[in-house]
Amino acid sequence: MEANKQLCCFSIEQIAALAKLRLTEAEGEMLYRDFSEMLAFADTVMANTSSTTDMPSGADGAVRDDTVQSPLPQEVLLRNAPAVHEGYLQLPPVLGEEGAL
Amino acid sequence: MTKSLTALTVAELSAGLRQRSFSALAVTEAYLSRIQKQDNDLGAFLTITADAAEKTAKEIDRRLSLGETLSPLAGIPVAYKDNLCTAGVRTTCASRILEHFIPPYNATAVERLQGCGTVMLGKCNMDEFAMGSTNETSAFGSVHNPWELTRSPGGSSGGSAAAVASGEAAFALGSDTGGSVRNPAACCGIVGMKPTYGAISRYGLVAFASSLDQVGTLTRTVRDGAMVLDALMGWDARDATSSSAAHASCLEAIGEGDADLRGVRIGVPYRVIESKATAVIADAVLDTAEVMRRCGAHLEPISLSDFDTALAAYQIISSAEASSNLARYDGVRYGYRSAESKTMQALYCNSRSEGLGEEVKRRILLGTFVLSAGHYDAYYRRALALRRALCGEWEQQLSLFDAILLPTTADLPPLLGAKRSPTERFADDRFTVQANLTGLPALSLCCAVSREGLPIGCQLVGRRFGEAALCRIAAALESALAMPHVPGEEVLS
Repeated sequence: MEANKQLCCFSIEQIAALAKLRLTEAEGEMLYRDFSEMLAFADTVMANTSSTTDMPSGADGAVRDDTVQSPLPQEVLLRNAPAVHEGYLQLPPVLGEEGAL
Repeated sequence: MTKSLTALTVAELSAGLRQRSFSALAVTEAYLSRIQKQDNDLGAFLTITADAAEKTAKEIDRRLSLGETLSPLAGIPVAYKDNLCTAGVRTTCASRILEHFIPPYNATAVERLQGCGTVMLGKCNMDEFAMGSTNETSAFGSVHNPWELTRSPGGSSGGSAAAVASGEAAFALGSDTGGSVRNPAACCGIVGMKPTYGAISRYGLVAFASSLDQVGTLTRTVRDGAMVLDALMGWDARDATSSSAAHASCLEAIGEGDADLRGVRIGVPYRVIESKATAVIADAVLDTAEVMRRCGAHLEPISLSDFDTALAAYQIISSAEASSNLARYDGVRYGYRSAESKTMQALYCNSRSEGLGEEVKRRILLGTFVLSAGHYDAYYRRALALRRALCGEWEQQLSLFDAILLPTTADLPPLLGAKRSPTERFADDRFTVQANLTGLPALSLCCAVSREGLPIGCQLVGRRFGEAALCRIAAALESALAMPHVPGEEVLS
């Protein structure tokens, strides 16, 4: 089945890594089954469709004036932050062995 | 028999408030009392803003007593789907990842209704991030259908629809990405309207699939929907996809709402209706077509391309856009953050994996896959090509007809907990995704009640920015059908 072959180019774990998700073994198995079914359905019904097109646009070109507007105050924006230190977002290290992406 | 305050339509409430037959506070208290009495059984609300509602109602009463001229919607209780941002009021999208999120601003749709003096009762349950059609993917429990509590109210705006049908809100707002306003409207026997893409600002509507999402209305009558639409439609500088085109008044178009459809041309895809809907739904919709004919409409059979193809295109496009839009939930700036994260990579993965539900993860993964190198052309671009072809086909049909009649759902409201595959669940949107892919306006209204006592919805799809004409046709049909307006009351009382 075409869908399975294409899915095999990427393992479900690789797709999950691209999406910044971690799956349990059971979730991985279930999602693989679901994926195969969904992609097989898409392969079947879209078999005779070419891929040459432009994206339809819903906008009619009306845009606002290009003027500077006041942003929300920093303290307001930080109210929903999970961790804050002296007015900044607090995060684990980004650089170094522990924090390397 | 005198109707209770919670059984009155928006139009009736509006007239009564202006005639001082009752106060806005009395109306608000009647609704809050009903929520308190029955919402444990229904699960329609996630947040109830009782104190703020009473305060607003008192202010409307004060202004009315001074003789101020207010909007027809002033003093009318409204509920919002919990993916519309409300300043200072929790907005969860029915997800653990946003369980404690309090927006610092209002969605434009909320802001416009607040400007009209409506009274916010609270925020409604929904499928997590609007991904689902039965309301079972909510992280905070399913909503129950007020017509039969063992059944789903539809989704994803299931809480909004159940609240309106059961007399817990005079009207509600939802969002419609693939049918999420019309499907629950049909399942709960009320009116659901998805306007043209761009007719109502999406600013402050938490994004699922930005090229498909649209704010929609859930009301007990077409006239009520028209009143709300008139207040909501219009250009917004904060949404680049909102339209600056002038809108005709939906309420004025309805007029008296007589059951007169003379001169109206309706396209009916008989073959699709008979082959893709169950017999009970197909019979009800075809009977509705005959009602329209008796009201003077000219009906003509039309042919539309395979509905499964549109469903596949929707599945791919909506998932692709969801994977991009939901990348923002990473535990950094707001929302849930996993406690056990020593690195940034772990922070992202743990927060998303622990905070997002199964259906949301499934769609993010599918979207990530179809956008990945090697699969983009095979799936995403092919889906866009299908969408483009669909737009041309529907525009061409609607150059010949004033509206196209369809079922809203393929079957009766499903039992809660029924086991179904992802493809079967997507198929709930079989008759509704076309309006989202094409951006056309579509309205669902109750056209029959099944032998089991469950509501059945029919759908009218209209011309681009033809909301007023669509409301006129729907109001005439509603008048001819004469269905009950508050169907859930008998079940719940």
